Amino acid sequence: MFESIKNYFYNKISASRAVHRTYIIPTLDGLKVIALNATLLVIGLVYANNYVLLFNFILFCLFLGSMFYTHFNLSGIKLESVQFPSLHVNENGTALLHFSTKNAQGHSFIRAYFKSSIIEISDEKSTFPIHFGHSTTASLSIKGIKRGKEKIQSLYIETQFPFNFFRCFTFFRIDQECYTYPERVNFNIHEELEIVETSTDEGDDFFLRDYQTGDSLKRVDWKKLAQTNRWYTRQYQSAKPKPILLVLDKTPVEDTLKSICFSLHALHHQNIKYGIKLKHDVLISPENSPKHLNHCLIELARYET
Amino acid sequence: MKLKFITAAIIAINVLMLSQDIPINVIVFTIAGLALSFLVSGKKLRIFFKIALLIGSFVLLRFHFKTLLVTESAVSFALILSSLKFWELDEERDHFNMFLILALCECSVFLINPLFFIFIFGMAKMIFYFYYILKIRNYDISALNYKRLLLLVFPSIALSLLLFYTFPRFTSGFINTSEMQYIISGGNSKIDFKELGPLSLSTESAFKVYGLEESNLPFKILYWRSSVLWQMSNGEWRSFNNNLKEKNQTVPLGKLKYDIELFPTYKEYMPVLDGSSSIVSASQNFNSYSDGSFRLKTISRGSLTYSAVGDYGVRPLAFSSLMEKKGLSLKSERSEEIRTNYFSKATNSASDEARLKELIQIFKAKEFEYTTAPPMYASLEDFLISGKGGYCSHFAAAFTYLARLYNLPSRMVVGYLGGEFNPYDGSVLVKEMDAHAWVEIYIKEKGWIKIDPTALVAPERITMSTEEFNNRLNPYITILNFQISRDTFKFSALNDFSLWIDSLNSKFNNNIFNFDRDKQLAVLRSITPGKMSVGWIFSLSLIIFMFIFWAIYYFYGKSKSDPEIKRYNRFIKKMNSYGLVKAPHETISTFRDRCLHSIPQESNMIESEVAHYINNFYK
Repeated sequence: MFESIKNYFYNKISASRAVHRTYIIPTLDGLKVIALNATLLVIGLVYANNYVLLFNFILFCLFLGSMFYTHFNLSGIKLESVQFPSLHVNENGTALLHFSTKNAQGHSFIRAYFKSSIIEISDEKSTFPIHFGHSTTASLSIKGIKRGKEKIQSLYIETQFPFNFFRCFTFFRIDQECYTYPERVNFNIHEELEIVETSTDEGDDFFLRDYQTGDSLKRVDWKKLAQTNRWYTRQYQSAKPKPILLVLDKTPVEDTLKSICFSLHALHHQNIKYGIKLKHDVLISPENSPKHLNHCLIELARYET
Repeated sequence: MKLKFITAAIIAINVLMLSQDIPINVIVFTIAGLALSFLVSGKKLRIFFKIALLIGSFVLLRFHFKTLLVTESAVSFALILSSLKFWELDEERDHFNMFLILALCECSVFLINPLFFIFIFGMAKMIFYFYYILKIRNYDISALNYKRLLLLVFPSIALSLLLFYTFPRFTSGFINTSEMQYIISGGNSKIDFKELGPLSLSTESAFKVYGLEESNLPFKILYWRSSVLWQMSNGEWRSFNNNLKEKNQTVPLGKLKYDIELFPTYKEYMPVLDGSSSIVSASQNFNSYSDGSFRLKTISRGSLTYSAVGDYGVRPLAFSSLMEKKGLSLKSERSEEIRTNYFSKATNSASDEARLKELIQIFKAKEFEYTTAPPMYASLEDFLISGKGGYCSHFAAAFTYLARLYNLPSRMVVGYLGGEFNPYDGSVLVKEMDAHAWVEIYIKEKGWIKIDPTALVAPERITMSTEEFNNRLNPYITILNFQISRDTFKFSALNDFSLWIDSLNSKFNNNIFNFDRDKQLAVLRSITPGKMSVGWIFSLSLIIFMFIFWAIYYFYGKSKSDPEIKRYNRFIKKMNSYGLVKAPHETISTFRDRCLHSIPQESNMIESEVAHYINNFYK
């Protein structure tokens, strides 16, 4: 019997530890209301004025009621997933937060924030509702403030609804890794090296036309011949631009990084192969793909001056 | 901007409500502060003006009140502070701070005018203001829908009422107002003849009497006795009755038993029916005097209730050599001049009664006239020689003077005349405008005889109610040179409504404002087991209500499960009681088959429940 009681309490304690904790503290407005309550209580007692006392008690009970209400407005909330975009300094992006709730009444005026030295929330006062029954995706406008890499450890969720007398908050461990790339500015102060390729490969930018006498056998599309049993010749559109290596070898480093960042995007959109060389530390050979762009930008973000 | 105008309106309303109790220069200062804030632009100039006004307000209060530690000074400061805070209403935070200052101002209004409707009006103002503060916050007020609002407000109000009634009232107030001197029209302890200006026709309620509805007394012409003015010195009449204090009050066996509720003005004396009245119980300490007056030990600032017994019109008999000496004392340098003017042809009869009749004739022969706005007289003697128009105080003072001069012990009695019966609560309401003064003359054979000199001048003042008489005296109201008859504004329905409102106000006042320590103890002892201390009851109430608050929100936030799922869960639970547990991999049909095999006697129930489940969730 004692064993079963022991197990019961052990399970209860374990369960209570597993519950996500919420914290509630009075705001500055709440402290002012407490001060007003104390003043009114003194006035009511000194003058033995029951109306002042009654007014004081009504104010006090609304204060107490708002404490329960604010806590109720946050309890039962659960963060399902979080998605932080990587973005450039001084450029805006949107973090997506997926919530679900056990509270049948949902939640109103929830504010989310996090501590970061490289990203900030564009509008700190912006709030969003969370509805019961289906997961809610909340968009959080963020802005890059400093180049770098950081692990955002916790996401804070808070509410001060309805009277701003109390601040109820909780936090979720997210351990989200974020990058903020350098700002894109067309300073054009970095060095660009054209790379001469030894390969004779003329690329894929061609169309097929019927084979004519005198055409080089090198340009015959052998695959097509095998498939269709007809002779085709590859007609190349234009000469392929040469790959470019963006080089960081001088100061000011930050401005040069911004300049490289601008060029990276420009070359990516022009479909030109690009690589980067950051002094003697980083060398990435030329390529042109989204993955490659991301790789280069990450290196620019985490480059230590 | 809208909220700024609402704030200005609330401050203006507070000024209006406090206008009778705070000095006019504070009102002007507050209004000027509000007006200036609209006119002065420029940040530096505004800061300069704000600081100047703040310093100015301190100087003004110090100059006016001498000491800042009086209630009126604090109330005035709260009002001025609200007008100064009005200068910086830019952000949401400023509005909230303004809300706190306005809340203090509201409490000032409650201190000065502790009436239930004033309280309700004050609460409405604060709620209205707070609603607008919520609106300018970063969220929309519509999210706080009516259901959520009720969930917040109802328990809060219930809890506040519980705390109000259980909060230990270990004090009846620390502020002692005995040092304060105020001039009260119907219960004065003194009258300075030189200061008698136009008659106050205030409709403010003075006191209310319960228990007289079946007495058949003529309420419109009842005399209510407050104070007795014995001493006359250089035109100033004072009660001076300290040496007439009764150690043990003798309670006469009267047939009238009534309760009086004195309204919160600064009363020093407790009005009772003129005659042989005694006060049997009162919510504040008082002294009784052998001249039939009852004086509070400290001036009453708040509401006061007391019970009295006695008979109307039965003259008090107490008389002593001290009273005779007091009743004949006359300190006047011009007494011989008055004697020559009035009594040159008097026969000076030996009998008191004959002399009184003679005095009445002499007084009548002077042909005084009743007016509510007499000229200011430099002295009582001036009035007696060259005066004509006056009102009750003039006539009573003059008659007492003449009686003493004619060797008749006399005293001036100050109180009220009249009252209005309220059928809604069976009370008689006496207003400040009913204030009256008359004279008592001691006749050896009959005791103290009541003489109303006003009746000798204008008999209809006594037979008619004060309001009717005043309307007859001044039948027109003049607005911008237009004379409008008072009958234009006479609506019986409106009068009925005001009586109903008045009765309601009295009920609330009795239950809320007059809820003092004794009442609290009586109520709580009657509803709690044993002699539970008030402190414990208060703490328990707080804890219980905190729990109720929590429970309300807990159940409000709990999701309601589908009734069909509940039914299914009940079925599964019942099967568990037979030892049949549904395995996670098992479908409902296979589980049904297993159950039918194990407990065939429950086959009907199993079939129907499973069929119901399949119908609901799979078809």
